[in-house]
Order: sequence, then C-alpha cells, then structure tokens
Amino acid sequence: MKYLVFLFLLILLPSGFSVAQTNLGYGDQTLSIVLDPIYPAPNTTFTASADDYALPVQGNSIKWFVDGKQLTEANNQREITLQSKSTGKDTVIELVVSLPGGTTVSAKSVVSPSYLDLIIEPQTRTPAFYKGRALPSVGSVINATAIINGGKVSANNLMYTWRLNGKALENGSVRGKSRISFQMPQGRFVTLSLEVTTLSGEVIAKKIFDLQSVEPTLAFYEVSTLYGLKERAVIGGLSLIGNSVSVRAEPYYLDLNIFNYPKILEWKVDGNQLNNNSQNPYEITLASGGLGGVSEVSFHVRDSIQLLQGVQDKFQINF
Amino acid sequence: MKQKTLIIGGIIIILILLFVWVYLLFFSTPKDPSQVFTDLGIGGGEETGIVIPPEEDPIDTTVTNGLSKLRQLTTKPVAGFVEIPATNTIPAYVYYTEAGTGHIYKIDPMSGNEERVSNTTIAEASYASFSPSGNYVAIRSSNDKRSEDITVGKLDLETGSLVTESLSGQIEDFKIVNNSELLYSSREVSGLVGHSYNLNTKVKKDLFTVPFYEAVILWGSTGNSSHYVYPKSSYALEGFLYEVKDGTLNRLPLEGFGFSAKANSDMVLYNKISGDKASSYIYDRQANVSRPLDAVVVPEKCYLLKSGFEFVCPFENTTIPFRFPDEWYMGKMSFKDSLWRLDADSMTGEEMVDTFAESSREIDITGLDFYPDSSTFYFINKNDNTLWLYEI
Repeated sequence: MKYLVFLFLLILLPSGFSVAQTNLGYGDQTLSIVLDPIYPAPNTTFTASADDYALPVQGNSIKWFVDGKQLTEANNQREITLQSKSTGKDTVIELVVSLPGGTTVSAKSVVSPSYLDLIIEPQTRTPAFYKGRALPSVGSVINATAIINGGKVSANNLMYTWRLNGKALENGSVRGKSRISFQMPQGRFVTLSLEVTTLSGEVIAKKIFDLQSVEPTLAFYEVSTLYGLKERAVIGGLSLIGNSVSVRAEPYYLDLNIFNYPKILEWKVDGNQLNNNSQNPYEITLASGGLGGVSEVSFHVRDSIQLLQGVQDKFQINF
Repeated sequence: MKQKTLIIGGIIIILILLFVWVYLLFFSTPKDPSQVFTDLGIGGGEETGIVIPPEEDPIDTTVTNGLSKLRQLTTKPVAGFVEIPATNTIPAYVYYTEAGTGHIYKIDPMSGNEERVSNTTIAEASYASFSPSGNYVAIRSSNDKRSEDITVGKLDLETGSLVTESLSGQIEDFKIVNNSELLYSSREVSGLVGHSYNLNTKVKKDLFTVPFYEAVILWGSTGNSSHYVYPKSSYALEGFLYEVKDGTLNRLPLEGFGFSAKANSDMVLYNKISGDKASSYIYDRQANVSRPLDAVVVPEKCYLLKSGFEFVCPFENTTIPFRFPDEWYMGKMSFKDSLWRLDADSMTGEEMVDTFAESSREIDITGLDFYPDSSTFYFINKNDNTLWLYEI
C-alpha cells in the first residue's frame, strides 16, 4: 500500500508543481518592452529592449515583431534598433519570449512619435537690436510654451502636467495649459518637465530637460544722436572724440521687473558717484570739460532683496 | 672570331656608357638646384633643368575696366539697399537708405557717383527694405524699440518724391518681398502673427500665428509661399525649425542648442551646438539626411539660391567662442570674412575673395544679397554699416 501511495505522489506532484508554475503568472505583466528614448521623436532612431528580469524562469528564445512582421535577424537579441515613423504613424512592436516547457509570454508596445517642443522665453533684459534670445537668471520670470507636432494638435483637449525640479506647477495637471510661467529658482540648473496626456490619461508625449541659469552681464554701447544705439559693444576702453559722448549700460539677462524698477542704480567716475540727469538712468553723458586724461567709468544695478539680480562693470574712457 | 666578338661587344658597351654619360650631363635635372656643379652656358646663359616652383596664381580681383572686384560703395552707414538692373539704355544703379536720416540715395556702382533722390527724414532710420523695382521702401525709425510703427514710402524714381504712410502695429520684423507685397510680423495676444500688406491696394491679411514671440522669420517670396520660423538663437537654449505653409506650422526634423538656419526647397543650412561647440550642417530635405560641414559658418550671413544645393557664405577661419552666437549678437566679437562659394551636393568649396587681404578692412559681412543680372554680391559691413559689393 505504501508503495501505491508513493506511486501516487510520484505521478501527481510534478503535475501539481507544473500547475503551480503556471499560476505564478508568466503573463504580460512580467515581461515588458523598454524604449529608449521613452517617447521617440518622429524619424529618429530608438531602441527597444526586452525586460524579462521579472520572469521566474529564463526564456530560451526571443522573437521580435514589428508591425506584424517578424524580424528574423533579431532572433534571440535582447535589444533592437528601429527608426520611428513620421508624426501620426504608429509602429507596433511585439516581443515573444519562449519559456521551457513550451509556453510563451509576450509584450506589446505602440510607438506614436510626436514632437514636443518647449520654447523657453525668459523675461529678462536684452536691447531691442539684439537678435538672440534672452537667457534666464536666478529669480527671473520664465515663460514656457509647449508645441506638439508644430501646433497641429490642439491644446484644448489635452492635459498638461508641468514640473519644476520634480514639483508640479499649478498643483497638477491642467487642461489646455500649453503655456506656463514660473520664477527661476536657485541653482545653476533646474529640471523642467512636461507630460502631455489625452483627457483619458493616455500619454502622448513627455519631455524632461535641464534649464541653465546665467548671471546677468553688462555691456556698454555708445549712443549716437543720429544713429541711435551703436551695436558694437565698448570693449576695454572708449576714446572721447569731440567734447562729449553718451554711453548706455545694457544689463543683459536682468529680470525685466528689476530692470524697470531697480533698487540700486549708480554711475561712478573714478569711484565718485555721479548725479545722472539723463532721462534714461541707464545712459550717461560724459564730457571732457576741456581736460585730458583717462578715467574709469563704472555702473552698478541691483535689486536689494534678490541680490543675485544685479550686475556691475566698468570701462576706461580716454579724453 | 672570339676575339673579334669581344672587341665589338666592348665597343658597344663603351658607346652605351658614353651615351648615358652625355645624357646625364646635358639633359638630366638634379633634385636640388644647388646640386648643379656648373653652368655650361648652353643656349645663351639659360639654366636648363632647374625646377623653379611655380608661383601660386593670385585670385584675380580686377575687372577689365581696372576696378577692383571688391569695392566699398558708401562711406555713409546704410539701413537697406537694392540694385535696379540695367536696361538697354540705363546702367544698373543701387538705391540705399542712409542710416540715421532715412534719406534715399542713388549710386552708380561703377563710377561711385551718387545723388540724393529723397530728403525725407526718418529719424534714427535703422533698417530699410526696398521692393525689387525700387518703387517702394519700408523703413524702421529706431533700433531702440522692439516693435513699433514703420514708414512705408512710394518712391518716384524720376522726381525723387517719396510719399509716405505709417503702417501701425507692434511691428517686429518686415520685408518687402516683391513689387506689391510687404510681409511683417507683430506681437499679439496669441503670439507672433505674420501679415501681408498689399502696397498697391493697402489691404492687410493675416498669414499665420506662431505661438511664441521670440522668433526669427525667414520670409518667402510671396505671402502664400513657404516661410520658415525658429526661436531666436542662444547657445544655452534649444531651438526648432518650422516651415509655415497655408497658415500651418510643420515641424522639420531639425533642432538643437544655438540653433539657426537658412532654408530653401531642397536643403537647410543650420547650426547647432555639438559637443560644446557650434557646428554647421546641411540637411537634404529629399533624402532626410544631415551632413556636417568641415567649417563653421553663420547661416544668417549666407546667401542660398531659391533651390538647389549651392550657397555662398562669409567665413573666417577662427575659433568660435562657446557662447556663440550670443556674443556676436551683443557686438562683443566680429569677423574678418572671406566669401566662399559652397556646394552641398559635392561638399566642395571655393574661396571667392578674402576681404581683409583685399581691402585691409575688417569686414563682418551681413545682409548678403546677389543680383544675377550684374553678377554682383552686395553686403553691409556690420562693423560700420557701410555698403560693399563684390563682382564675380
């Protein structure tokens, strides 16, 4: 009898064990496809990798299918490289892993390439003739605009989640919020991210990048009554030709609010503060007074609370 | 017999050796001319057999009438210009707007003679755009305002009278693109809006809206043709290129930090930061492939034909600073440009003229334009805003 019991256990236990193994769930939740980048842009190269580390047993073969067709050259490869299509055209990637015992598990990923462009427009000072873009400085206001696929996708039916250094702006997702403003925090770099989803929560695009802040910098320009502001900066020194010269100080990247309402703004000549009677406090007229020589002209502008919102510099004038 | 054979063989060998000796003495060329032992004085004292390294042919900078191909046209600073092509009876002339005054002058590019055709003053005139015929001109009055009204004038080329009107709005950028159309951008709540203004009928039309403000617009040849838009360039911020057609922005697959571009229907010449330095690339729009250029050019200084892969760029072989193009925009650095003709199809280039070598002037070429009728390039020197030309 004991032999019968032994025989019974010998036959049933392995099958029981097999059932137990199936019930461990090889299913899709333990196999996934990892894309890099996660949200490929249109017409770019990306990789798809098999993430099967959560499977209880190791697969003995890997097959890849792209848009229903098997990539035989990628058999048993853990990673493949693909080219995304144009905007609006999906790529369906399927991964099939065969396990010992003949079972298979599969995972699927759909790549819908979209351009998500973040246009950063710092509200900092640059002169009108300046053809470049202003840069952010600590404490300055930044406007950011998101454009998906050149604006073909309307923002009104999308949810936008903006994060600055990981913290959600506007307290979370906001419908149609394709533009946002924030103050540049302390630190040389800040991380700005945006996730755009449909109203039902499907992620359309996501972007994360580091935004660099710079220190305000000063440039001096001659002001001509005939031509206006000369566009060549005073480098090193200025020679006074004639009886007088007007010079403008341009504090690049100073927050516009501070530029318009500075708490500290002063001109000095050879260390002596000047009473500037010019209509524009950023301009000064220097006259030789019939004498000759060299003087040092300095300019300083700053906020009294946000001390990093400020800049000072100097130049020499020969007269 | 044997002896006879030996004698004959010996004579032949001697004759061969004698022949070789004579040849080496009179006709061979020593590798180093200093190795010549003596001049045997054959042929009137000429030294034969010495190789003199040929002189490099200098770039031909003269035209048959004796004028230099590279010439400074004005001593006055210039806000804008146009060349009116020659007709059967009238030679080509250049019209330009004097910066600061807005006065319009007509100058003969061959003789340099000029006359003022309009003394209507536009104070602090900083930028002007002419129609190809010269009949219309649009002038901005100050470089100290980001956006403002502009003056649009109809110029009678015979009498010199200029009838002006003000085109109002927060106008940022403008260009007269043909003899009847002025295109301009203005700041509005929705963003930067592109408009068309018919110079004859005075009708305005909205063309497109860019959902941000700090944008560079590369205007097409008409309001209905393609335009290109990208965010103003900075080394520290990312830019993207859009083609605007029928009011819709279409994203092109080009982006990068320090991004700037020039485009036509076949290619895009663009810059971006790559590995902490500015780099230039050509994007083939049909093949959807980008190729790097060996040198760094500044796309906005270049002249592209309307189609094809040939273009002309100012270029100086110098170290481009890390904060480029910001420092160039600030006026903290400038170039001493040579003019190069480049072919992106064959990836070859040819220097047309080294302006510093020819003129001893530091010329930072901007506003480069080409007039095929006269085969002449015109440009403004950013350092002093004077007008120059180069005949090819």
